[in-house]
Amino acid sequence: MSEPGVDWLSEAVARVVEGRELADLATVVAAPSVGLVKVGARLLIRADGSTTGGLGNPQLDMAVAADGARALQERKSQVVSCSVTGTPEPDGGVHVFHEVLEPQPQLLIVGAGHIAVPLARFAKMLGFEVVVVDDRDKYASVERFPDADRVIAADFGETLLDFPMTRATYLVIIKRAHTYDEESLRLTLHRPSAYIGMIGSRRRVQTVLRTLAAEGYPEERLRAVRAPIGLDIGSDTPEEIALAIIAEVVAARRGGTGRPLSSQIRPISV
Amino acid sequence: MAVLGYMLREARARAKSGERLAMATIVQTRGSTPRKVGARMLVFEDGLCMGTVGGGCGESDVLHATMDVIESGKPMLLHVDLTADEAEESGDVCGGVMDVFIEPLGGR
Repeated sequence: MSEPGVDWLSEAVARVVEGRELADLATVVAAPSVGLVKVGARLLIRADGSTTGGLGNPQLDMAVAADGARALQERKSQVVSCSVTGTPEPDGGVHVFHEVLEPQPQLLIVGAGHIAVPLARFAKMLGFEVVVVDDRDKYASVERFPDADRVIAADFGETLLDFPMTRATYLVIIKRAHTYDEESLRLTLHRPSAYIGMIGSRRRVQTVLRTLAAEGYPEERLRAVRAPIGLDIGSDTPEEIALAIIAEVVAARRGGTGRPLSSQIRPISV
Repeated sequence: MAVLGYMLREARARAKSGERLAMATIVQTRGSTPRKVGARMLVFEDGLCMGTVGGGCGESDVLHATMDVIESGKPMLLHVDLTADEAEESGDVCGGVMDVFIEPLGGR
């Protein structure tokens, strides 16, 4: 298949978006004017290695699929040049743009208290899909969270058990109740996620993590839990705490350090 | 990806009603550019756009090339130079260069 139209492209991307999966959209952006490989030809490479589409040459498809797998691993969009049969050739006639398609990040907010409201709004502004969970109807309501994509008023345990967590899920546990926090972690530590953060004082956080370590949860996963949650910006109000949390979430997503940019440049002597 | 999905849905709808349009995507950048790889712009027959590849005279070049692509129906790879020499007159000096892939999406 060469030069698939906008219908194919739109369908293919829609399916990737629904699947919440990483995928590589490989497009031929330059090719010899004569030959089977046409400019605009596309190959979609999914995280599991499966592909749809084709570039006009099976050997090229295989080589591009391999390049795509590499691009996905590096999570880096890039142009790769090769020959029409896919052999690596920096000045080769075929230039393929590998575009890493990231799934929409999902913010899963456990605990619909004061902090959750501004947190949901910030997250929406930043392009996240927002899901809020609380077992209290009054708190987990559409009135309080008009922008959220889903508001779930149900038992935490049952909800988390069934919830389809993916590597695009950013889990924020802000229930503020010792036992719920522990249970939430128990149910999610071994599931895929991009980030897990938990609110609480240093002491409470230590207690929860130690309890789970004693139960045999891998230390590595426990250490990856951001607790106390959020960047240190001296937050005081619920809005400020929500800001500190969403900043940490974005830093995790984008690979930022969370440090001031000004502290990272060599100072010029004034 | 959500943005791409949204843009493609729009493109599909326009193409279905017989409109001609094209999509410009930044595929490579070197140096400082206002937008990065993956930034996109949909350009419709009437010259209106959805999305941006960075504004300024760089985007203006892309827009013109895209209108040509809508006419010709042939995809192209455009090299855009945003370094000082090119941009001085308009005052927007970015210092980088970018390659933009422009392809027709409708009217076939």
